[in-house]
Amino acid sequence: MTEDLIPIDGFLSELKASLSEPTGEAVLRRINAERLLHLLAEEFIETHQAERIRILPDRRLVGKSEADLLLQVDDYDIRLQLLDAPENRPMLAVDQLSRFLDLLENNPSTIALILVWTTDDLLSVPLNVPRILFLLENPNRLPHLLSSAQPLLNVLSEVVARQSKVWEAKLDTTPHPEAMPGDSRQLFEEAFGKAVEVERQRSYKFPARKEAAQRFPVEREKRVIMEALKEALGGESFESLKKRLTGLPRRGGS
Amino acid sequence: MCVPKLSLHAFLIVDNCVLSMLCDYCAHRATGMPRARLIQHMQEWAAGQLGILRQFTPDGHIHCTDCVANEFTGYAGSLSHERGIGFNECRLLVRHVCSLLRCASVGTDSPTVLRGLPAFPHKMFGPSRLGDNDISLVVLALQLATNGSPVYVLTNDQDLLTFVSWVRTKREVREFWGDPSLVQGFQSLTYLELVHRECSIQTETMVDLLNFVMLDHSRRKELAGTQKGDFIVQQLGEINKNLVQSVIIKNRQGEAL
Repeated sequence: MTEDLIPIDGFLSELKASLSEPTGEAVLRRINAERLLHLLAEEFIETHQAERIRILPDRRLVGKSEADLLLQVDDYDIRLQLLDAPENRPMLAVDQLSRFLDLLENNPSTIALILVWTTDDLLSVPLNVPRILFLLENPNRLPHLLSSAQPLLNVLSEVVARQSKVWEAKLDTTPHPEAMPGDSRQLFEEAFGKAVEVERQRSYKFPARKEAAQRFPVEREKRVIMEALKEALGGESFESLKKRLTGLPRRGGS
Repeated sequence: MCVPKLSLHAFLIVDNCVLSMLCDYCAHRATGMPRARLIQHMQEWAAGQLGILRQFTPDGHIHCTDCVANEFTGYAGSLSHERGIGFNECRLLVRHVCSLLRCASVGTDSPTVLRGLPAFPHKMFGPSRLGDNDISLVVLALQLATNGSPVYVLTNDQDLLTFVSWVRTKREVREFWGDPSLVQGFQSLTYLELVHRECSIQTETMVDLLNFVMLDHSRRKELAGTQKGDFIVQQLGEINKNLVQSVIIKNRQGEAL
């Protein structure tokens, strides 16, 4: 038997291209662009490992599909559609847009459809529903869209970055004093005390809540929790501690 | 239906995995044949098939590099093991197949030139992926491209095919060799299917070969009865559907001849 398995997906793609594309040149453009598309998509996935992106041929999904590839990112997806570029530049007709609109409307989890042309650097543009609707109303803006095409990796990065929450975290570069050995029990007690104090300082709209906060038995609860901590550190089972900590106190006392 | 005008008139380079696949298929077809006759049968069959492919080339040769042909010698061991045929006889077959190729050495510096290209896809190279032997096929293709005719590289290695597609976009290689856009990688099955469409391979043989490949795929992954196994069956269905279209084209070509 042959040493390596023959990649059937690749064969099927080539076979389909050889049957569906109108000219020999278009067949070759399609075959090569598909391979480069996979290469770039894999490169993109590697550089965005945190997003846990999966790449699938779109035809594997259930139901009608129009795009060529599907990138599953987190809880949304991006579809990639290859378009032929016989003159090595992006071309698009207005009447193609309604098909893309259908695709996006039928797949709510798809946040963007990226049109990828079979140029050497896979020039691409992202589309979403508002953008397509705008173009349908203003077809004279289509050349502007095409002139804004960029290499696929740039477009993919922009689309994914737009979906990610940017935390304005700054690296703390101030030197820290050397860590001192401390009693974890004492640290916990202090932190717990502060947390309770913050809660008690909260301003309440309803007087009953304000009163309840002021009457909260801080010392008693602190004692219960500190005892639980001590037992937890001593190896007491989580189940028995949970029961005690979440149980209601007996009426009229602890 | 549009009939693609993909010309098969091109220099041809084969990877060793294609040769192994063809030999395996022949051995599969000849199941039940006495061992004593099998090797001779395989030699004749291989010569016939490579002869068919040769008729589409401008120079009447099927090219390979020395190092890749050397890799094919390892096939003798696996064939001997699989079929229980003497190792020396299997070596005879391998030598015979290699003698049907025009093997060349591309020099040790050439792969370095390709590796030095900007944005070289290093991740595709390494253990169990591509190596210098694979690059040698691409270098040979670029050397043949200096003749100004298309060059087809036949392989079953998806990484190699992707690498060929990547090299095609690198205009810089013209400084050393021919136009990279003349080089095209094909899955061997795609190329054989195109040859089938040109009425040079019988439809029954093509269907049988595809079934053999898919069965091998399913069996070696031990997927029968699993979801993936079902998917392979689904793929086979798709292949057959496409093949029907191809046969229609073939019949039209036949009528036109």
